[in-house]
Amino acid sequence: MAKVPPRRLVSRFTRMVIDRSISWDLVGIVVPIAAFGLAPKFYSNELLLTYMMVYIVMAQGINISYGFTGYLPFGYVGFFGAGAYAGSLAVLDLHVPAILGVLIGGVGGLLVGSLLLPLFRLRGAYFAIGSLAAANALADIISNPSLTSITNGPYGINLASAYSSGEIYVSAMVLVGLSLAVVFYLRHSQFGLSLRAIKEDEYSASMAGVNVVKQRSIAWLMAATMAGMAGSIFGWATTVFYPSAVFDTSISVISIVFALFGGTGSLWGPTFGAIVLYSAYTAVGISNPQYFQLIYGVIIIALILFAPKGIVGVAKTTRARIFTRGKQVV
Amino acid sequence: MSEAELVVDGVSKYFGGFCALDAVSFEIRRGEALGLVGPNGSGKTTLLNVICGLYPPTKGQIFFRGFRIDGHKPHLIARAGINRTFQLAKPFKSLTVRENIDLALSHRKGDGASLDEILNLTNLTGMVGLEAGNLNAGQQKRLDLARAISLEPSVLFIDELGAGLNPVELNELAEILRKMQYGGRAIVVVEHLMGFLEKVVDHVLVLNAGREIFRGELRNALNDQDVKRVFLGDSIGH
Repeated sequence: MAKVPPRRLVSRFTRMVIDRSISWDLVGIVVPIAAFGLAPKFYSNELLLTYMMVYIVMAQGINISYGFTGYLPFGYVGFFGAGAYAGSLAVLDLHVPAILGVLIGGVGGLLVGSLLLPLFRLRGAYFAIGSLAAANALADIISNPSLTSITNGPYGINLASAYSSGEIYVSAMVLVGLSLAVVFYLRHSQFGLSLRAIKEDEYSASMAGVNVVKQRSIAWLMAATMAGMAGSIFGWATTVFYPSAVFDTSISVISIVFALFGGTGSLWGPTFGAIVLYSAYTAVGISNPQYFQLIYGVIIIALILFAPKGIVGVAKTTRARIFTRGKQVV
Repeated sequence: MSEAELVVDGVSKYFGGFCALDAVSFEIRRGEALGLVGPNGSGKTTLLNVICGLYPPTKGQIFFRGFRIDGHKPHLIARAGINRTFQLAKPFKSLTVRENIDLALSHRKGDGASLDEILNLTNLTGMVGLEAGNLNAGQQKRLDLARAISLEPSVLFIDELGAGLNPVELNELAEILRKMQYGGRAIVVVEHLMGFLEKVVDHVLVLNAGREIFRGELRNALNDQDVKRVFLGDSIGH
C-alpha cells in the first residue's frame, strides 16, 4: 500500500472536517457510541440497552440492503437467526470464547447470505417474499427434531455458562461502531456511489461501468454478516432461546420500521429510528401492553403517509425550505 | 479505409414469438455519424439494447474492434468503449452532477477528458453541486450524455436525445455531437426529428418492423418510396 505523506494526511483530514456532510456523519458515529458508553451510569438495565444496540445494527443492515441498493429483505431475520445459532453452537460444541462466537455468528450470516444470492433474480415484492420464505425454511431446518444432535432442534439453546454482561455490552458497542463505520464508508466512497446508482437504475448504472451483480452482492453480504453478528450477541445476551425467538419475522419487520422511520440512505436515520422507536415500544409494552400493536400500526401508517423518507428526510426538506426561502431554486 | 469499430452482423431478436429485430446488419468506423431511423416500434431501441448488452441477440453476431461482444455483460461493454444515452434521460437523480460523472470516470480505463472538460463540452459547468433531480429536462439529457462520454466510448449511441428540447437546445446538442464526431468517435443517432438529424449525420439506416428497409444518404432516404410509405402512409407513398 502506498505511504501517504503526513502533510497530505492532515490536509485530507482537514478536508473531511470541512465537508459538512462528512463531519456530521463522523459525529453520527461518535455520539451513539459515547452515549451507550455512558448510559449504564444513568440507566441500570444493560440488557435493554444491549437489545437497543442489536436493533441499531439490524436497522443499519436494512439501511445497507434497502437504503443503498433498493432491495427490501423481509427475511432479514434469517441471517440474525443463523448468526445466533452459529455463534452459540461454536461456543457450546467447539468451546470457543463467546466473543469469537460473535465473529462466527457473522460468518454464519455470511454463509446464508451467499446461499441466498440467487434471490437477486427476483425484484420488488417477489424478492421480499422470497427472502421471507428462505428465512422460514431455515428456521424449519434448524428446529427440525431430527437435527436435535446438531442444533438441539426445537429445544433451543442454553448459553448460561458463557454469560458475561460486561463482555456482551462491550461487544454490542463495538458492533454498533462497526456497523456505523460501514455505513459511513458507503456514504463517502465510490463503492457507495455505485450502490446508490444501482438503487436508482441498474441498467443505467451498468452503462456507467458499474459491475451491478458484484457490487450488489458485496453489499448484501455485508448486511448479512452484520445481522449474523447481531443475532449472535442477541443469543448470548438472552442466554436461553428457541428457534422461534431468533427466527421471529417481527424482528425483520421491526428492523425495517426502525430504518424507514429514521430514514434510509443516511447514517443518522436508522440509529435515530432504532433508539426512539425501541424506547417507545418498550415504554408502551411495559405501561400499556394492550395498546402495543395499535400504536405500532399507527406509527407505520403515519410513516407511509407523512414521512416516506423518514425523519431525516423531513429534517432535510425543512432545512432546505428555511435556507431557500426567498431564493430562486434551479 | 480504416477498420470498422463496430460490426453488427445479421442480428435478430425475438421476444417469445414476436420478432423485434430481423437480421439487421451494419458497420460503423471512427469519426462516422450514422442515423438510425424508423417509426415507433421499428426496433431501434431494441437494437441499442442488444448491442449494449441488455439483451443477448437471438441470432447473429456483434464485433467491437474485432472482438465478439454479443452476450457480454453491459458494464464490460461500457468499459470496453461502447456507450449510450437513453430515450428518457436516466441520470441518477439523487446524486449530484459531479457524482454522476465521477461514478463513470471511476470506471474508465486509461486517460481521457477530465471532469471539467466534460462539464464544459456538455454545458453543465456551474451545476456540479446540484442534484440531478433538480435539473430541467434538457440539462438532464446533457448529463446523461456527459455520463456516457465519461467512459471515453469510441462508439456512442444517442437515443432520441432531441425529443422534447426547444430549438436552441437542439442546436446546442447538434454542436456537441459534431465536436464528438470530429474527436474521432463513431456516433449512431436514433432520432425522429429530421431537421436535427440533418445537422448531425450524412447516412441513415431505416428500420421498419425490425427489418432494414433503407441504407444510404439521408437526402436519398427522404425520396425513397419505402421510407415515405412507412413514415407517411400508403396514399402518399404511392
